Amino acid sequence: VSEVRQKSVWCALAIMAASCTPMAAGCTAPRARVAPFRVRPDSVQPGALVGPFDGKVVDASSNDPVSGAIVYATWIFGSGYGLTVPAGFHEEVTNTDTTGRYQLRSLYDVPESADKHGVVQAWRDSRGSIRLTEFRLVVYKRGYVAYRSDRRFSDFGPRLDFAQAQNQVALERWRSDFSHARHLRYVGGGAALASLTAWETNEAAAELSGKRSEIGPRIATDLITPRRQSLVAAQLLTQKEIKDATGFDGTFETGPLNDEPDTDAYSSQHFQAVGQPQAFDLAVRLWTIGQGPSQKRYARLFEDLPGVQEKNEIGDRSLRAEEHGFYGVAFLDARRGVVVLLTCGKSLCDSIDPLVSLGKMAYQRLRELSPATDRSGGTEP
Amino acid sequence: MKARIIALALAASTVAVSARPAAAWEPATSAGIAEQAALASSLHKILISRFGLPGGLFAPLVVPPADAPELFVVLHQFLSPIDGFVPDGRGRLTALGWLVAGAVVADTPRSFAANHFFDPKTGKGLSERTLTGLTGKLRTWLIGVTVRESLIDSGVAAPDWIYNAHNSMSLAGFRDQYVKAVRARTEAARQRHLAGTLVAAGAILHVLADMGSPSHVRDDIAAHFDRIGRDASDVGSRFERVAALAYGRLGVPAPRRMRQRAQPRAYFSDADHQGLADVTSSRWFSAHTLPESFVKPRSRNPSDLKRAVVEHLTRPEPGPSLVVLPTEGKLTDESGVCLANFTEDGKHYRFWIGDDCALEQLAVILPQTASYAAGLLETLFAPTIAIEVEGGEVALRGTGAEFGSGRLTLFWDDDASIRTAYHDEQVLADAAHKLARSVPAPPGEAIRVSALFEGKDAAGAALVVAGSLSLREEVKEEKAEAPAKVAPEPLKKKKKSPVFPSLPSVGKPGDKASKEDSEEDDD
Repeated sequence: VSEVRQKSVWCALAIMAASCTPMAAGCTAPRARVAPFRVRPDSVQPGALVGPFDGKVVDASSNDPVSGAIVYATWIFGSGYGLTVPAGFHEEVTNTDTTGRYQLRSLYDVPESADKHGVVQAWRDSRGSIRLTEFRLVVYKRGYVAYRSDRRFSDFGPRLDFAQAQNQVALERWRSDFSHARHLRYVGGGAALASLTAWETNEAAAELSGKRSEIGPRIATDLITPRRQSLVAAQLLTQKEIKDATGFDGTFETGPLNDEPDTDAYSSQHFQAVGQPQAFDLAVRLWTIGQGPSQKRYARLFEDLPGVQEKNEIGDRSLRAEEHGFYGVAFLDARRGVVVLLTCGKSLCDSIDPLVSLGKMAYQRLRELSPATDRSGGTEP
Repeated sequence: MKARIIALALAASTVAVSARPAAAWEPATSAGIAEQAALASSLHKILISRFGLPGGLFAPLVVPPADAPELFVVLHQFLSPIDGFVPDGRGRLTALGWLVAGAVVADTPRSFAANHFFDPKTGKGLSERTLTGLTGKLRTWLIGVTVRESLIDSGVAAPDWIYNAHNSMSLAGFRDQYVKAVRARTEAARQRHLAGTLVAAGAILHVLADMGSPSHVRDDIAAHFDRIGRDASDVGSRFERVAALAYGRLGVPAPRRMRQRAQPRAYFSDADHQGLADVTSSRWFSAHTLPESFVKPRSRNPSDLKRAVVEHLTRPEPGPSLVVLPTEGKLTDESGVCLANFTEDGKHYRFWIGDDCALEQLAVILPQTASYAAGLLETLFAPTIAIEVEGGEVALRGTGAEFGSGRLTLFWDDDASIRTAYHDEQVLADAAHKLARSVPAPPGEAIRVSALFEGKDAAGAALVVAGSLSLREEVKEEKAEAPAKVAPEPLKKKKKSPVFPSLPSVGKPGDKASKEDSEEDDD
């Protein structure tokens, strides 16, 4: 009997040892690698690949929240006893809200209906040798350089400032000297991102064919060409200044206008009143194009804008314009080679006067940000 | 009986701790090497000129998922689209994406990964030589169980694997798809097979790129059982994990130059010892082929230490070029790149490869690997048949390869890009091996003429080469400049301007208005 009992004990031990291998389901917690990012920006603790994640997306030049940016997140799984193979992925797509914030749920909270390939459930059940190996996040909005949680755009080096919670994403405005080929590689893929970046593929192809060299150097190497900091429209006015000038008590979503992407020569900023019609919007367009071209651009505005009256109350020359529903103010700073056009819906600006005062503020900001040098080498007073 | 049960329990426990070695560069690194190879090669221009894709590497190619169900199971169920190498639901992906997809799926099924090893000293593939002791033997057994076959026995040497009949993404698979990408009647079918060509090319690049990882060319499977995670079952190659973390897909450095060899096999190993496997094997240690630990010699003079290290090498190289830096505890090569760390462990010197040391090595290895990969891509795609239409004849001349005998077929495309063969002949090698000849011109309505050579090169190796010429340059140019035909631009539709709908167009640099705006300022 004692021999039988002894055998039974050994058998039980053997079965326990065998069944508690990672290959056996149900014995272990879902496995995940250590996250290569922090739990919060102010912490030294590693975050958790499983999530949840949250953060805020702002415009790097103005620090204004960027709403409507697409946030694409992927959890990547691997498996294999012997030789590792990818075991699947789970993806979530969301957008930043009006305050630029995003939130992504934890993998533990993913409902079965959203688990397209069943990989999340398999991982939660510790089925097979499945392991959560990576989490990546991409933020994209047209007019800006995309953001990846794992790499920087500037040098493709590892990003060290991504955090699981309270993550800060400062989107840099797109510049004409950036490489579309590099940017497309950086953005990566996914159906949502691919459709949003489809417009860049032709630019990228032309670039690789050497057809775009006439517009200056591109960042196609591993290093950014050092260059002078550009002035952009987002720097000229703040939300507070607009609210103070107009008395508006709502909030604005901000970002580039959807007319053209920002370049060295042109940038825009759209203050879009949340939950209000277009008549509550204000837009700033800035051309930084040099002395001669700025005169021509101003002349074109003078010719093309409706209801124009030249007032010369801002900068070297300025005009007021009016159309049904909108006011406009434009000014020229010939020395800096800059033209600015401000447009304001009549529900936001009840007369043209607030817009004129905003134009003056913008001009003052322009002078502060870009001290002009006269031809004798002295600076502007 | 008791002993058998204990052995079973021990085996089961060992299974638990010996899990999942990654057996190749991680997917991100493989993808990065393939991307850099593509960008450094002339593939972009070849896709435009020979295959009529205005977008080149960024041209979308569609493979209906029903046409390649097994491939799409891997691509859609297992690989995340976030890195740009997974087609969308309709099977649409850029040419570059297809190439990278091939580089990533080459380890699938997992038993294929065993064929990505090659020891140039023995000419053999994977073996269990470094899996010693009971744990090692159990791991060998475990791998066999996992892949349902004897891994060691199935480990075809990497240079042979790209020629192996069981490898669907071999050179033969590449040539098969390439031929179809030229021969197919419709543009859609040609693009579908071009995607297949690129997938096969990517998979071949992957096998070559693995020759840049020292454990793959020093017969060191044990290096793939190092612990790389916080739990004991997370094992793999620490060296390759460091590469993935430090460089990922995007950070893989561009090659400084393209290394070109005559034949695909020569990129792996050759009589001149300049194949990637030759170079990697002789220059670097791997985690389990380091010098054996030895008793500290009395003299700590670097030359005495070097002699002692060389005496305890487990393989003959790297030997003569070693530099020993006792104060830093490092072995370096003559250019100062770390080869291994060492430390005093009681009375012995013990060797290992620290993460900092691995990073120094990777900074050299990755661009070098990409340079070989770029060269191989060039060898696969660059040979062409130059076509000139002169009067009623088409003059052909092969370039980039030594043409032997084979079959030459000429095609013409009509306005709808329907391709028709109109001339077919068996050709014999000419003295110059240049395929120089004249053939009849295509019909007058042809907008493109293409030539395809299927045969052997001067050395008797299989050779498939194509060339193409657009006969209506204005059409070509128009296509190249008409982005909407290639990729719809929903976001480029001008939204109604938020204010002043009549506002003049802003214009981009390069537009007429913007050129006017962008005149140089003398300020």
